[in-house]
Amino acid sequence: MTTLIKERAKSLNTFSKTNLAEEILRLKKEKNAIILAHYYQEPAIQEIADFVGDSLGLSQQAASTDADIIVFAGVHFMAETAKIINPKKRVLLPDLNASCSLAESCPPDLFREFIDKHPGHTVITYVNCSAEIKAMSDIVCTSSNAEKVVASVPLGTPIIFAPDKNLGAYIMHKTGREMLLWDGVCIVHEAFAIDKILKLHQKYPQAQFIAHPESNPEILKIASYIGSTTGMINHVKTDSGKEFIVATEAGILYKMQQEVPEKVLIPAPAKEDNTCACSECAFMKMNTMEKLYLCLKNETPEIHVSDEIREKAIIPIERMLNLS
Amino acid sequence: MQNFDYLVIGSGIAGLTFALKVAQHKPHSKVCIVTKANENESNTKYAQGGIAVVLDTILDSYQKHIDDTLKAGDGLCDRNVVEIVVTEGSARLRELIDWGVRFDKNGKGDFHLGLEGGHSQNRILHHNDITGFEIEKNLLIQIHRQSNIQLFSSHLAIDLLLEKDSQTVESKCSGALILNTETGTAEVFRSSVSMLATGGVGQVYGTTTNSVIATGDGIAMANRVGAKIQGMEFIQFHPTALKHGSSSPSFLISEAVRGSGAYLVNANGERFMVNYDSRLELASRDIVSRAIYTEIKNTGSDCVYLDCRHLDKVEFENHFPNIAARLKSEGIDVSRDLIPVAPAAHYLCGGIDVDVHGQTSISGLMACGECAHTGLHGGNRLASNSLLEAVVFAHRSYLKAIEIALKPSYIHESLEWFKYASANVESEKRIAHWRKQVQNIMDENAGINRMDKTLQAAKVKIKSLEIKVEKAIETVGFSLPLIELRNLIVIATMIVDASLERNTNKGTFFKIEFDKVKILA
Repeated sequence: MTTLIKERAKSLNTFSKTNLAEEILRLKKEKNAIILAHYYQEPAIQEIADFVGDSLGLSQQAASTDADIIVFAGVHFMAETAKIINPKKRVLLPDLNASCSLAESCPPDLFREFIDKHPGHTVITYVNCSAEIKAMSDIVCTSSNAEKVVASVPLGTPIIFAPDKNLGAYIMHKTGREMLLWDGVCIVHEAFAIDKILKLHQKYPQAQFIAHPESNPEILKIASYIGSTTGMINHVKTDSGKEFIVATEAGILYKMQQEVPEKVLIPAPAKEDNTCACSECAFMKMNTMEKLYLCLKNETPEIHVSDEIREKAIIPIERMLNLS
Repeated sequence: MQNFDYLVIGSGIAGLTFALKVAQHKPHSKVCIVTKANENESNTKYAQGGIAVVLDTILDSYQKHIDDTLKAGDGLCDRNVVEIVVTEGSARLRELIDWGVRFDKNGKGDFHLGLEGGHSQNRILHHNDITGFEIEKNLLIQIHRQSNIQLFSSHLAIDLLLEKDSQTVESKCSGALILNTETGTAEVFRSSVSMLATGGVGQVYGTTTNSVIATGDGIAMANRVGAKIQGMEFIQFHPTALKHGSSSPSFLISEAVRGSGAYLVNANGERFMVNYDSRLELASRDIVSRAIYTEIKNTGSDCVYLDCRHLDKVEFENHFPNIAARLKSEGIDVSRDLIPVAPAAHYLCGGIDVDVHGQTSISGLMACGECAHTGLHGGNRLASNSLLEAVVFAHRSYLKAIEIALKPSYIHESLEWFKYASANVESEKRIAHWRKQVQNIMDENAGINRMDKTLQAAKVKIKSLEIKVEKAIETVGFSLPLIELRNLIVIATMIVDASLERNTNKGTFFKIEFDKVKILA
């Protein structure tokens, strides 16, 4: 149920931004908490975070921290992963409704049916899925290590790959391995428009086109570099190119531009019209400084994962971390 | 702050009839009607068919109309409500006639009774093919004569206001927050009784016969105050909207055209309804819509055709002057050309749950017309039963409303937080774009044929848009298009959720996976 407009409006502007940042830092110290923020978070959150990274980097940080509380400025599955790795620590997520279209595209009951229909397969799941899905998996991967993870499965063993069919198809192409793909997509990455990218490229003929592997196959076909968020940032830093058209969530451009202030970064256009903010992940943007502050102060909302799910889900995650 | 006894939101047949009756019966009460558009803009205006009433008691009977309604509703109608509406129809019809509404007569001076899909007898009273327009026009004349009714155009209800009743401690509706869209100011309209008569939700789909203002505002507002809502998965698609160009709303080719003998043929020129139902072109709307949808898919075309070439051209133009004129303006000559048609979202069978007196689950809040769920339509509405339902329930609601003690409300709302987003090209473009996205998502995933998997994907996409819209409200403030969009998103979410929940195919509701189960079984 949406809230009444007056309630919505009244909750705004309760805090001033500067006080918030100070308060968050104070509480963080007091409670021995660590703030892990995803690259897609709003700039103010990225600035205040102890660590900013992509899914893989953040799970590695989560595994190595000695803080008592992990505040995850990201989406639900990421915080869940942190909790699975750190069952003794409290893991907080500023907004429990911050979900992920990929994770949502793979409901546990349907995935169970799918696995049962295809026995004998090694089940590889992309980290963008719920704890329940991870508990049904043999090994987890991120876009940084997916190739390596797939290569670790002995030749001749059939593979199920879920939930992102675009990443799956890309890895199939890269490794030459046949895989059975779950039909899920990221609604941000599927929105890029090839015709508009080509047009934009005519305007910037010197620009390199780089893309995240969650993008549609036709987009990946014309990309000169394909990689995870961290991979793309490193590429832009180390490559001699001066101009880049970037097809991924718009929020990453903030971090990227900070790393390469002298280079020109152009966001890739979405299918209909860029006014729609189609290439912004709305779920990631649900976290705000206000919510971050309240969550740290009240130590809620907290992520819980049942022991039964956790004990099963930790195995494929550890397999991945050991490979990385 | 303004104080009224009765606040009516919406100015279609339901809202106007209710307001008029209450105001006439209680000449000292203050009645207020708000509408976000012009006073005469509503789905009522576009109702071409007519109003189904049993007048001929030799060939027809209440029982036959009841049976036809129950059959269309596919086991989901409330029988008691069906009986009420059918038997009370003729009295309400007489009132419409007294108010000046003219219905067509035959050569003998009797009312001309039309036939429409799903009806076993001729019983549709109509005014040419613009019945709704004729009713709306005459009701407005009556409304303007009534000095205790104030009608506010360009006034949009944003949210309902609840307050705790001092005696019962129960939450009660005490009016609404109203935005004057011309000045950009918000104001509290207090009332003892509030009536939601905000009509349909067709604009949640890209192809719809509904007016651009049919954004489900009343249902979304009722949802936000926790009123019970039912049957949102039952969207009736009108089988034959004109498929020529891409204007919204789509122009409707009334069922009565098929009633007068037009055939449906597919892109290959084959008369296909023989393969679907023994009633052929006059099968109920869900069956005809799904048949057309299937033919469109199978032939790879984007429409099927109405064939009127065998009909008498003069008679056609006399009976359907409005449709004939529109077709002519599109360059279609019915005596020579086929009329391209496709299904379009047309009517919401569900809505805000009301009892037989029009009362919602919230005290002081009533609902009537398309936005209400009375139990009459069940899984599918019988043609020309909606204007009938609106007048019968407007009357019943009025009888209840005048019984409710008029206790002044003392609700007070500081509106300091209210920020109006004045027009800005950039943000309007963005809002229009998001609205189109909602419509695309619903057309693709929550239309005539649905599937759990795609409904689930639609849910995530709608949620994502909802977050963006909430953020936009935070940053730019409130405006008519943004509030409509916010309401459309609530409606879309309710339709998708209700569709995910329902696991039997009934009436207008059709999920592909359940059809397969049936075939295998």
